[in-house]
Amino acid sequence: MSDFLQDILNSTFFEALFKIIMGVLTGIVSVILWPFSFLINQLFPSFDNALSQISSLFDYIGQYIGWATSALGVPAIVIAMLVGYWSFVVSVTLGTWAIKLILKWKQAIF
Amino acid sequence: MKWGGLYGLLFAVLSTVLLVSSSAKAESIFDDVVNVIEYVAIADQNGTGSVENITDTYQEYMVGNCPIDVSFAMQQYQAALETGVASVSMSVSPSEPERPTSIVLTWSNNSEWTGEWDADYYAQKALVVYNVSFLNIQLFNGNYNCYYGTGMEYSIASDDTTTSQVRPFFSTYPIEYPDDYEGQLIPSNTEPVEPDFLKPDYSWQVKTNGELTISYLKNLPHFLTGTSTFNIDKMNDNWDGIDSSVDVLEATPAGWASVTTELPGIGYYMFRVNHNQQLDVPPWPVDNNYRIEEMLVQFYWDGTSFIQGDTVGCDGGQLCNNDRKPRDSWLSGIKFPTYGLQEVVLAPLNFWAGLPSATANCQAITLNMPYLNRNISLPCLTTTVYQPNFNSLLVIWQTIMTGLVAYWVSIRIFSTIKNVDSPNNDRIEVAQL
Repeated sequence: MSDFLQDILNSTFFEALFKIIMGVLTGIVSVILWPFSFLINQLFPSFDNALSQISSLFDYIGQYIGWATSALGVPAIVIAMLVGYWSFVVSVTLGTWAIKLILKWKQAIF
Repeated sequence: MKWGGLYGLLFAVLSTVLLVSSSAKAESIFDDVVNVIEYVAIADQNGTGSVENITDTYQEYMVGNCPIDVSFAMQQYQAALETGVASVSMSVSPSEPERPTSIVLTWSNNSEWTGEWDADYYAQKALVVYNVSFLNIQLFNGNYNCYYGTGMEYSIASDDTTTSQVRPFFSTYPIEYPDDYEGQLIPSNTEPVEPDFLKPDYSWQVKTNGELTISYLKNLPHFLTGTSTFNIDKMNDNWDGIDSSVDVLEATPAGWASVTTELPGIGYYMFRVNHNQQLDVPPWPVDNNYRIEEMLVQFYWDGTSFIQGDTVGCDGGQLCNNDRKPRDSWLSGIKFPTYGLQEVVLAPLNFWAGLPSATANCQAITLNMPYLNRNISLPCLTTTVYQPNFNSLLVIWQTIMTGLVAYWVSIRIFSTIKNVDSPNNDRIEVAQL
């Protein structure tokens, strides 16, 4: 079953679909947060540097996560499915939220 | 209907006239005594040799005895006249290391190929100039056989005395001759049609249990018939020799079938695909059979990963080793912001996206022991402990875990979509970014 799921995940369709979802997701986040990031960068440059340490923490954890999953005998396909599911949920949530936000702005302006 | 019948009659008359005229031309061609080709130039097409090298090799390896009788040379000889270029393809299978280099060709002035062939190499030619549409010399350690003939019919000359040392050799050499020599039978303004070598594409994959599957993908002008032979070999770590042969499989007909075998474990592998049949591709100049290229693919399998690839973009007769597709390929190529709040917000997602790759490519952890000034290395347990000792239990454990997670993910996706789709429920799952 693992290989069957792996075939699905590595299919061209799923690969393209996932890239679209992630592209939309990162695009929405970038657009929404860009003004705030710009202000922080301009007004609080030290704080901006501190923010980068957060992602460094994830990078540090990522160095050992492979060993940990190997020790637990967790196959990569399980992780891949969870990542796919989580990406899907976040995309739907954020997309819906963005649409509602746009509609609110539209009602307020017009 | 009247006009249709009239057109049909006209068409039949014209077809008959054309057919009769072409037949007459063909007869006259075959009945003629073909003039001798006075000059033949051998050029290197793929940059893997030179005229001088070939000539040297030819002079050097005049050993052995396998005369080629080309008593039926007329038809293909004229085919070559129409195409303008004839080609000789030489290939040596890399499955047997340390093969001798070269093919020995003798061009004689009486328009016949004669050959005395070096022992112990495998050479295959598509010789359009003559009726020897293939010339297949198979020489192995010990006895060797020399096959020569037309199509599927061939004769065999054997020599029981020769042993061999063989090394890989891949080349395609066109043999050109002057366009204006006396044997020219077509108008000089005719656009020459060069015989071509066709390259099929294959897809392949190695599953997590080591099952290698190779399938014909596409890229030939029509259905691939005949038999494909798949040689799967395990190479040494430097790719310069073969440790052992994993399997030799055949697929008949080649176009429909895929082959499957089991890889013995971690290692460097290579498979190559050969075909026993040429391909007739329109437009047919005259008996212009198109050769199907041998395809070679090498890859490394780490014993646990799902990998796959294809030969699209690879050259025939050359090793194809740059298209291995890792298991997490669907996660690659995604760019996350590396600045500002965007980076922070998307850091968990970035982390998640890297998890499959990190899991599939486990790295041993090295810890420095304080006060002892020693390093402790913690190996990856799956590959070093679980799989060698408890592989069955590991497979059961992973299967159960995968099934449960897949079930849970399916239910959750269904629930999420149902909630979004429901007009009476505007609540959707909120992820805590």
